[in-house]
Amino acid sequence: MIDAEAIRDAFAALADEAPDADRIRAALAGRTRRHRQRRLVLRLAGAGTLAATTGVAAAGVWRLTRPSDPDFPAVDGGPGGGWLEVPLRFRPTWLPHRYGEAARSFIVDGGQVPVLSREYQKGSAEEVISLLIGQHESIEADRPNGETSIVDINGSPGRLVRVTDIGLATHVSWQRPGEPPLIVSVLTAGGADVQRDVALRVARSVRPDPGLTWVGPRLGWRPPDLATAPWRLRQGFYGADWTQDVTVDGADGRQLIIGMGPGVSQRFETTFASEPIRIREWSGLLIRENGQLFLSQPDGVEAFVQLDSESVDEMVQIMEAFDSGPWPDMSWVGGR
Amino acid sequence: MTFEEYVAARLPALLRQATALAGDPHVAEDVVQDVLIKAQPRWSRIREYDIPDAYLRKMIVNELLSARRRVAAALRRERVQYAAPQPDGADEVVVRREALLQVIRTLPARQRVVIALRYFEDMADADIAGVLGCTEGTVRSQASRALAKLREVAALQPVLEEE
Repeated sequence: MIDAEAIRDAFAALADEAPDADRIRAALAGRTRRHRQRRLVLRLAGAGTLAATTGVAAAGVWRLTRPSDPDFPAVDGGPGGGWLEVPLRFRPTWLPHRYGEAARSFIVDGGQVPVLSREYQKGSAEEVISLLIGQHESIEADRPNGETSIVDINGSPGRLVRVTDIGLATHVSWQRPGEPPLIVSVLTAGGADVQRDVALRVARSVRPDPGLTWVGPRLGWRPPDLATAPWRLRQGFYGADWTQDVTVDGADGRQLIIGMGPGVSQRFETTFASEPIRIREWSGLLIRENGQLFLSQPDGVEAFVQLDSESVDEMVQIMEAFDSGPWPDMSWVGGR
Repeated sequence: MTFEEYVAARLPALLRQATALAGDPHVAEDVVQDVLIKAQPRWSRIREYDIPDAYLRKMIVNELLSARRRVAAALRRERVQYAAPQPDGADEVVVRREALLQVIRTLPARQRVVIALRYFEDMADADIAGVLGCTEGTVRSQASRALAKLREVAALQPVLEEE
């Protein structure tokens, strides 16, 4: 006879097999730290731009940044504007059902934006479609490699590349005379044939977009090794908060990250030892051992800044000269 | 309560709970670590809840029922063979418990979670439905299927005892 008591006894016996808490606790500290670093890098390392050229990066970033709410929230943005006007240039006029625009990324090189990436996502699945417009030497190494076939995009020859090394992604690239190169990247479920159909249909639907957007944040001073490097800006959302992340990569792998938004402290809460710090109108905490700053402005904008633990003075100097710009216009989130 | 204080106080209980829900201590270890890593950045919000344990339990359940884990669990079920209870010299209660454990370990994750919450956590079906995000009817049907498999152990038992 199997009664409730017997089942309870069985589960109690099962629970007695639980692993040793002390061992887990010891492992957890290191794992938490590694996870945080990886998350920061993936979330902020120019995800949008890489998303269009490296399928793995796109999937990884998207999983980590996607809020739990499957629907697009009403993001409380600002008036927009900034020091650099950016033509949107192109957009897809067809996307699968439920997809909407979720992020925009820019490569800023001097006073130019040679690359713009627009990411489209839908509710619950780990799927993303992106349109990359333009080219820049900093992302050439990330161009997709894999099984390639020649396709027709409205009369122009294009390359369809299927990447299978880690996860399946399909990319279609083409360029019409006098126009920038374009890449549509598709990381959706359903297998290779579905991805191919979606990629081709999206690519063939791409049309000029007369819209404009702006780069708001501006780096006033950078350390010598990062001073002339192109940098990346990613605009997106986390929950109902807007996010703007600035990333600058140095030649030796050194990376400056400035994550901004009304809810940054919730994205990057720290439990490490910290000390109070004030930089111009910013006030917040310095985590010296990690080379991180958590700052707040009077208008409610928060910033997470990371360089490295040996460069705290440089990090402070960067923020002394940093202009976060106006609150970005986020009315495009969820649009098509 | 800081995150570190919470972990120091509640980790053993979380691990026991996760082991019962997962049916496997190794999976439980993995899930609890994943959940705590996810919970830490949100701790300022979680700690404001009346019962952080309930929030963490829901996270554990969600993690166990995630698509990635379901695939892994299905593969594991395919590999595991039901072991016949060994009645020789063993206490009847122990033999029956071992037989039940074998079945519990190989139940589909959702069925195991339902009966673990009902019998190990003593939760009402309505509360289980809240944790799983489904209806009470779904909870009852999942429990019914799980219990049917557990009853097979009872049906098996007398046969073995007669041998």
